[in-house]
Amino acid sequence: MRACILILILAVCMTSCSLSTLEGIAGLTDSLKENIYVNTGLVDVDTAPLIRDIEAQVLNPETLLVSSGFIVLPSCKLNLSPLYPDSPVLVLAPADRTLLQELALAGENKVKRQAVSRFLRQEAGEEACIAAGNTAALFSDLVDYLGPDHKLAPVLSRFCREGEDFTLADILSFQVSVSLLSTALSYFEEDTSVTLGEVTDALKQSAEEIEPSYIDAVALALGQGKSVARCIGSDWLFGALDGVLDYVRRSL
Amino acid sequence: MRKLAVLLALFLAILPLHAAVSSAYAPLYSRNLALGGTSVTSARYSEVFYSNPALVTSDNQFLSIPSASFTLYNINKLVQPGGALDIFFTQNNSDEDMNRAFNQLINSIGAGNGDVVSFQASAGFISGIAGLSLDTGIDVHSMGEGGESSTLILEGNFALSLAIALPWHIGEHHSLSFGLGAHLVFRGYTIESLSGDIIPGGFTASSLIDFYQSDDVLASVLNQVPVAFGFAIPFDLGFTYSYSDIFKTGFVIKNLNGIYHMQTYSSANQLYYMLTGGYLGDSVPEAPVQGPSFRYATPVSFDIGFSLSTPAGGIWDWIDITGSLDVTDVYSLFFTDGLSCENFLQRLHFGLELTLMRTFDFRFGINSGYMSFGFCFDFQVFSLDFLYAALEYGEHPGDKPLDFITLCIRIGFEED
Repeated sequence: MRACILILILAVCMTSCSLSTLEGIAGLTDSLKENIYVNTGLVDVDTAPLIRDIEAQVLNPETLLVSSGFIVLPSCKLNLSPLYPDSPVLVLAPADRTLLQELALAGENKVKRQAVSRFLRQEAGEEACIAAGNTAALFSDLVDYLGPDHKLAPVLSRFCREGEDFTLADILSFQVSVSLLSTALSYFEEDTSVTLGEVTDALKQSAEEIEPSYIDAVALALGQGKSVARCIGSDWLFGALDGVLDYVRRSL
Repeated sequence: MRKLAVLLALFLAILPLHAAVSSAYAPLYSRNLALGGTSVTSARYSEVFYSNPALVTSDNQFLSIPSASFTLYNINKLVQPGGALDIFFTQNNSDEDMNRAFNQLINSIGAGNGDVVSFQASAGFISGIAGLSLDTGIDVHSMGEGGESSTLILEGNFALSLAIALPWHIGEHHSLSFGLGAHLVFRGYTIESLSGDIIPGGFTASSLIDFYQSDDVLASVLNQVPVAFGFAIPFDLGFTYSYSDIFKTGFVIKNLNGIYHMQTYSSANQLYYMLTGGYLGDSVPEAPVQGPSFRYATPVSFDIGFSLSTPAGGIWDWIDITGSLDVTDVYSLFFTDGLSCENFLQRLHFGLELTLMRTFDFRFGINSGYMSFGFCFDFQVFSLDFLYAALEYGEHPGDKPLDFITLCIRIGFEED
């Protein structure tokens, strides 16, 4: 069985102009999976349902914003009160899981990518910008907790976007980041409340102490995040996730 | 009268089936798919049994003992960093690494209808105007939410095919051929339950992980997952016109009488008992249960095709180039779905093959808008075929592409 798959991969390498690594093959298959008729405009693509779903996510304060001492994630509750003891803080909620799947799939369709990118170019509302700034600050605090010597610190610092004016693409990118943070926090038991300090303590563990199945789940989520970043045209998110994925991959 | 009404109701029942098990059986031919899914006039050797029986006379002698192919879907996700193949090739290949790679294979299954993996084997021969072929395959299809929550369908097919063609040569250059192909297809697949609508399914992807990691689960799968099993006797009619083997055109009507007569059983072991009188594994299933029977019709397809090849003789004995173009399912294009640019392009297939020294084949195709590539080392008695292609699993082009690789090894003999 193993020999069979090895021959398959060798065969792929031979047909892909001396691409010697799986990453090269991944890049090649990214482009080969695209539909020629869609890309050349011979076939019309209905992008309206996808735009409607994105609109429901990034323009609806109920699904967009969290105003609380906790960010309630599918995996656990991230306790922000040690960071912001005085009042609840407005941050971005994680993106809807179904929307993430939809966006990852749409990333393989050039017309959908362009439509999504066009829609997300508009400026975000005031509240959303404040929440985005606070979410960026959250990552900044995470980096501070980790310390400058940790290998993950420079990678995570790519999420610390400064500024006050954000586009809808930035808002959705932050939401994707919070979703991925949620996947990373599946390390903790469900429904528990954890602080950023506990998160960074967990990140400081050596790779040997971490369950491989956990690393695999994070790697898959990061892969999906990259597809989403490609779809929404967020270069900074794509670069940041690529960096984290590289770090995770070296921990395999 | 009541019995007649029940039988009629069963016959007319339209069952909610996965796209794969509701379609006509056809083995996955790596050459045809590498050529963009063209086959009406470009099929050769064993491919003719399910492509166009009129082409049986194109190749004088053919014997395959046997050929086997393995197909792995969703390659793009599997080769990503942290994906199944990344773990497979970069780790130590310990049992734990293999389990992780398998888990990642399951976790990368996308939402909706799709395929995961497929094994096929076939043996057959063609001599003169007739040929016989045995084909068998096991496919794992997926549906549902994706990842571990996906519902998997295990499908097995076994088919015996007979093809016969009548050639008619008109003068030195022109020839016609009429062909008839008949298939006896046995099909079985796992289902959700014996009660209510018969829905393909049976187990989730997470239970497949358990199945992979433990032998005991094999017994529970064999004894607990209900199955549907039955048969159909479809036949194909084909026609080709050839001008000096340079230009060919033809058509084929596929899958006439493609009605499957199915019976449900409480488990695969129960089915095995009905067929052989014995049981698989150590644990014997409890009370034998036979569920309802049903029928369903698989669609008929009317395909047309054209191909152009370089003439024989001189340098063209060493360099052979063939271009082929098919339009499939023409009837539904005009009378059911309607003639539109999108519907036409979805049915359009184009392929180009370059054969060097009768040994190395390089193939390229465009299959409903997706590119496909393949090559083959053909050492007369042994050939190795490789294919990379993508297929559309969504409703419209670009909605849900799924890419795959196929490796096919054949031991046999062929002569033009």
